[in-house]
Amino acid sequence: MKAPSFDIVVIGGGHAGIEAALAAARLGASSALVTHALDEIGRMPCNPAIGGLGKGHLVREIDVLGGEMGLAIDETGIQFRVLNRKKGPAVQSPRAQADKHAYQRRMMQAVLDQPGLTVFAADAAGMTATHGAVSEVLLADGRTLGCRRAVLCSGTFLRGLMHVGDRKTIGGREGAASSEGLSGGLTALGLQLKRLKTGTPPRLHRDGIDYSRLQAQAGDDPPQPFSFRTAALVVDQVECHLAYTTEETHRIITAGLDRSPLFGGVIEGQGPRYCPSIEDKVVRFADKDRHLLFLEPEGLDTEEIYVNGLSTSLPADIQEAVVRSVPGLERARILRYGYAVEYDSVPSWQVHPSLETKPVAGLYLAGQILGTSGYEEAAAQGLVAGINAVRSLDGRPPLELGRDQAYIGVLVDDLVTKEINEPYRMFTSRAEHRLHLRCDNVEARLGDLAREVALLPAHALDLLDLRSAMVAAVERQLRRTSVFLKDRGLRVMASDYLRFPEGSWAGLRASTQTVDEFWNMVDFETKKLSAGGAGHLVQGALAQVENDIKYDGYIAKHNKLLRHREHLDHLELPLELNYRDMTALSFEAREKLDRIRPATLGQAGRIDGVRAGDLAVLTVYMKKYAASGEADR
Amino acid sequence: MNPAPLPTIAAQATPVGESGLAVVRVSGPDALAVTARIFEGGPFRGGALVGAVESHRAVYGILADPVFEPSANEKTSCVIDQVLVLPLLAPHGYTGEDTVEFFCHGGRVVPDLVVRACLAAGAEPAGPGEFTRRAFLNGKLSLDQAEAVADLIHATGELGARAAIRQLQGGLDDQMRGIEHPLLQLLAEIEGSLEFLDDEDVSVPAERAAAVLREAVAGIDRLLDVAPAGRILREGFHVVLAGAPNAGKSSLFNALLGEDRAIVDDEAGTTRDVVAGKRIRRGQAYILHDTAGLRGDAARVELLGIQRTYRTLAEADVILYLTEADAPRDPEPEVLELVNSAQPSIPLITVWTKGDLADAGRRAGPHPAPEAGRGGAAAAILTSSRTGSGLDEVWRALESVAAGYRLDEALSLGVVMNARHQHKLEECRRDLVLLADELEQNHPGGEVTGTMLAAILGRLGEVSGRVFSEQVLEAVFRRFCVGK
Repeated sequence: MKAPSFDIVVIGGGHAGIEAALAAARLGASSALVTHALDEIGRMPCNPAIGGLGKGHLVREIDVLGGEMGLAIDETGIQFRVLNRKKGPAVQSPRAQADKHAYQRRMMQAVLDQPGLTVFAADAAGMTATHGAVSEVLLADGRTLGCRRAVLCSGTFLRGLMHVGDRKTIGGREGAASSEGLSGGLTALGLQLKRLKTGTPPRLHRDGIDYSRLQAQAGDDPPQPFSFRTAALVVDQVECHLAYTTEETHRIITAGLDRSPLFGGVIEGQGPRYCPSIEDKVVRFADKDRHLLFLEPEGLDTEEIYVNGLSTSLPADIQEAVVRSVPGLERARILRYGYAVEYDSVPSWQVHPSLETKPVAGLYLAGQILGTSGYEEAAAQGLVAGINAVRSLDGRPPLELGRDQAYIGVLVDDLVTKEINEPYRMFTSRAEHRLHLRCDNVEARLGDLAREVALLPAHALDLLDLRSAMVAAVERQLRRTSVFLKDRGLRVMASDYLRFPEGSWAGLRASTQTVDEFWNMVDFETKKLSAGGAGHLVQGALAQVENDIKYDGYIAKHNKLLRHREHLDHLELPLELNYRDMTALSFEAREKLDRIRPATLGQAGRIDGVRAGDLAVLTVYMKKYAASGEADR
Repeated sequence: MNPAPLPTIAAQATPVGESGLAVVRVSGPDALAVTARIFEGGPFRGGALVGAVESHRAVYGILADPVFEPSANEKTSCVIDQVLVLPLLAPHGYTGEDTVEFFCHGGRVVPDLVVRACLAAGAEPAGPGEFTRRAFLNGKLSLDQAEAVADLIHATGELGARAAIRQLQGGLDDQMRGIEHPLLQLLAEIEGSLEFLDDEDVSVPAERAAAVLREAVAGIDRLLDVAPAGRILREGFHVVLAGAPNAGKSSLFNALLGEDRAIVDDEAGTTRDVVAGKRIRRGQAYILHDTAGLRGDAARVELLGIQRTYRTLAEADVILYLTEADAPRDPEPEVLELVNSAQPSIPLITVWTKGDLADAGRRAGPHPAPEAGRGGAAAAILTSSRTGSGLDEVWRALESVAAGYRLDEALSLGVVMNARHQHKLEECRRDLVLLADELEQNHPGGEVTGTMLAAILGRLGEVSGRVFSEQVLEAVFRRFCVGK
């Protein structure tokens, strides 16, 4: 029997694999998705939530570019909150608790219903490369899938090893097998591997928790959706609860440290600093007498409660004692113990900004395998890898987002230039252009690109058009309307009024006399959007206009600060440069440049260990190189 | 893509002038061959290499003009000096190439002959800073170090050399670290407050952030304050002699430089009208500029010459304003105005010339000299270039003005900046002040302050060579438990 053959085979049905497979199929490539089991698709093995600081930005961007994540969480979220409401709009980010089973079913359905996508419930055992290009995916049951491109999204499954105290289990996560064979296959293909580590907290049964002693935390009212395609959220929101560890908790943990694989040196991989285990926190922040825990329901049809903040790999008996030392959890029952998992990742300097690997043509990597952490980071890469795999089929240039365009651009650029020593999580502080990269202007930032990417259906593109027309109309009218400010004793343009810290739409509406015409225009535009099914985008458009104005001056100043480096991003470095012979570079710079092979001088400058002096040297060599190239011709 | 090998170069590596010992350096692929042609001793015998040359092991012997016909029975060459030869084989020498250093007798003559011998033996003359450039290209020096060495080469006096050496040892780096660290901590605190959970509200008060920025500005100011000192240590102290025609400028110029002056030459490539000479006193180089005479009725006289004088005045560290002690009339007001307007704030010393002439005492009373003693300089000094009287007083006045430039402070900070450092620091200072003003006036949110501060730190990193992005996160993680 002839082996089935596809344009694109995606390995892994996690958050990266889903976006990669859906994007590939939707762009018209014949595609396959290989997953251990159908009910593995879209699982949330760790925190049952989507979004969060920096991550919410990623989800909004994935959504506008045509990804699935935003729609899925909007349909299956059980509590929606915008984080950082007390901070500036640029660093506010949506987050939602998911009903994890509903989310999985929603994603499984999307995958199964997708025309042009065939799903194989099987283990991937390896890949074959022919003439340096990937050509086949081998399944553990002996079948072979021919492919022109492959996207590997194997998450934490590569040689996964779970730790609960000194008990070790081979597996990618609780209750799932690991992929043992793929690691060796990747090494054979010329990729280097590196051990990373992450962890998860215990899950409690909801019945043993004394909620009367915990502080409840409700969702936003009204809740705000992630996707611009979601007209309204239909959700009966649940509450989360706050609990605190005690000095007794810390005493128990300190006494059990010698039985922690983390501290006993059993775990070789580097864990994330930003998501420390509770034993880490107790040791590192010894002066804090309590740590905050969030009790988050994992769904409507499950009794499981996720204890956010209590990630641990301590032995089971210590976990029991730790939980019971928390006021309100004295009688709580642990359904699943927390564990640490070690896994193989592929250090991300081995991929191009397209996410195609450097040694194997046609092989793309996305998600945790590249050393990131989080569903959102994974989904963003899956989307990029899926789009680029298809583009490369007919020789089109890859989609590459700039650091000044999107958090996805920051993510990918960081991956290809940074040495990842711990699972990489997005933070707003990673985005130097964060005043511009806001959640409220994603449609404006990426609308044109979304049209070029062509993943969005026509009606969604219409929504984007209606929204941008409204933004333009409001901006125009703001510059034509003047208001008198009693407090300041000034008459100013409405656009300048919004620039003031106290300037707001409500304040503008209160100055009725001269701005009636303005609001008539806004009402008129609002009706247009409502008629086009985009009424739900009005508030977001107004928020964007206001924040654009408020940040405008700062963005201009900031761009001036960065201007002297900006041109570096346009200076391309030939990929074949012989860095090893550039003895004027520092040894560290030589070694890293040789390994990473940045595409531009700007990227070179962002590599840790490449100094301003090294850049100066590189410019000299580039001039020489260009000159010798001329001479050759 | 290997470029053609660089030629072998030779030059005196120690400052030209009076000294007991001088070093002539030969660097490049033919350094050993060149040595063999002019040196007899150790493995260098009869114009060829016999046996292996050991790196970093000095050999004593005779240096002579090259022998081109080894068959000749008699050496026709002329012995130049007894020298010590130190071979430094690639990649261990200063330049990273094969290098040979000749330690010969000092003075002006012998080192020159040694260099000529090297050139005759096939080396090419090294351009200014070329050894350093090669060291840099061969990865022996970082850019900052190369800049410091370049300064060292151009350092005219001993003090300058010492400051440059301190920079090689990281003086500027230490100072920069002191400025950057509090900013980094502030940024970490701001970023931590942004990534922190809503439920434990922490934010950095704008006033406190502004205070940290102002502190950094003060730190930069301390560095910028000694920046002119760095230039003076590096280039020398510019003394400009100005005054009406025939005020005795050229006589005083020559008298001050003296017979034993180190170097006197026309300033290369500049004007006929401004002549410069150098004199080193107590380890500090002074560059004296003799200028064209200034007249009030500028329209009638050589306008060009006056403009050149004016430009020279604008670059002066101190101005000697010369006026004849027995002048028939007071200096023309226009001349004074011109001298004063060039640089109103720098020290100006009034010097009465031709004090030996009869009737000079006529001017002993109160004088209408222009702002005598301005800028902490001495009051007017009576001199005679013919008898030499008052010259020591002029020198003491100059030394006292030089001391006012806080050269010692620059030395103790170990900071000698070049123009690039100074320019970047001035930019960072301006940006920090703007941000501090903004914080105090408008209380922007942490996301704004953090974004701006990160960019400014990035620019400071261009002076210090440090990169902060990961350090910020590291500092955040060290101080905060970040969630969600």
